[in-house]
Amino acid sequence: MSLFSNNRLDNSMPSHHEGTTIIARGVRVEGDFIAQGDVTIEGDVTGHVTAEGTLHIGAEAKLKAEVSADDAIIAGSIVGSVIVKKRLEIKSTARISGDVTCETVTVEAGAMMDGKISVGATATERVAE
Amino acid sequence: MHKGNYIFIYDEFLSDKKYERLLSNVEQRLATLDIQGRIGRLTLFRNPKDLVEGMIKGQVGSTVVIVGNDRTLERVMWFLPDLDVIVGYIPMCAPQDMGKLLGISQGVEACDVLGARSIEILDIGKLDDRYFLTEVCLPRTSAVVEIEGKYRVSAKFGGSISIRNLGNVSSGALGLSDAKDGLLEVVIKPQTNSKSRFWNRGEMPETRILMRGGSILSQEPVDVLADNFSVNGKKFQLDILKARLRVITGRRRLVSAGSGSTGGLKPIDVHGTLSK
Repeated sequence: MSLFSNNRLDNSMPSHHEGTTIIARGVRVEGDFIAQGDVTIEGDVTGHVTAEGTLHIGAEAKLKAEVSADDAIIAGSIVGSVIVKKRLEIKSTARISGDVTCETVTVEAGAMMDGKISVGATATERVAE
Repeated sequence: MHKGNYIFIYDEFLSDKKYERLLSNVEQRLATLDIQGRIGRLTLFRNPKDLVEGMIKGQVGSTVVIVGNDRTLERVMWFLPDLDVIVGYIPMCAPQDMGKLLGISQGVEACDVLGARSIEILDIGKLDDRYFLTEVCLPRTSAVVEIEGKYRVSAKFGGSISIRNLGNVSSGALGLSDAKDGLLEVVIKPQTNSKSRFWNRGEMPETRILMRGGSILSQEPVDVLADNFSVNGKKFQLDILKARLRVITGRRRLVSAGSGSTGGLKPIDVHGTLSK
């Protein structure tokens, strides 16, 4: 085949930004933080956090925020309500001061929580309404 | 056989004797591949926009081949997206990071990429009114990035900010973003808090956020580099223009090996035709 016969116009390469949104240590976020896909937070956030995927809140993260996500793993500190549509995992280092609503929850020994916890499908449906 | 309208833009430094042999080899290879066109030469006092526009006058769909290095490409990138042209690149010497991101080798090998004419349509970033292909960067700053008017992100104790379209060429290590997703990637690398140096646990990790647009806000005037072109100010608008520039790229263009651009770089066959 001739070298010159390939005059292709190729715009079909798939996007490769399936990666996680990362708020790393040493970074501050203020406002309505909304992310499609998974989110990892190790920094500071003030305002609202919405993740349309799995939200990982690391042990060093400090949030003063209303938090909502499809699934969440919390190891850091949150002052504000937490709404998780499906599965919530609270690690031993977590400090949550606010109401928590989720469909299922696992809590490790050592986690500190100050607020009302509503668990079950009806609880998340009630919040969605 | 493809015979397009080729225009070659030579950088001024190529008139130096030390490039004579390499340039001659490139021209010979182009002749072998039957790629011919008019040559324009950039000079210090010649406006590159006037030069290119003058050469493509009346020729729709011309291929403008930049012959030089990344600095040469940067000198023309700010106006090329406004022209109905296909962009080719022959890197002749360092810096040639943009060539690497586009899968184009140096010198004679770049002629074969040109001959293969594998064209990708890439997004173009915009910093206020200025186009950029690779990135906008603030090497050391306490500026804030406002994302889609919804929230603000900043490094607590300052750091570097890079807003990437094709990738990072400013920090020494290549970093690649997806220039076909209609998004800009914000990468913030905080500097360590000097007060807590005792507790310093090595290099600070990077923050990565994708956005459709936003702005850079600073209380003090700051220098912002768009494709290495410096602009000074306190507020800058950032936008992305989807599928705006047709570029001839190499078949083994670098793409991110992991999720986002955190997993290193590897060459892949972006055109899906590379022989195994």
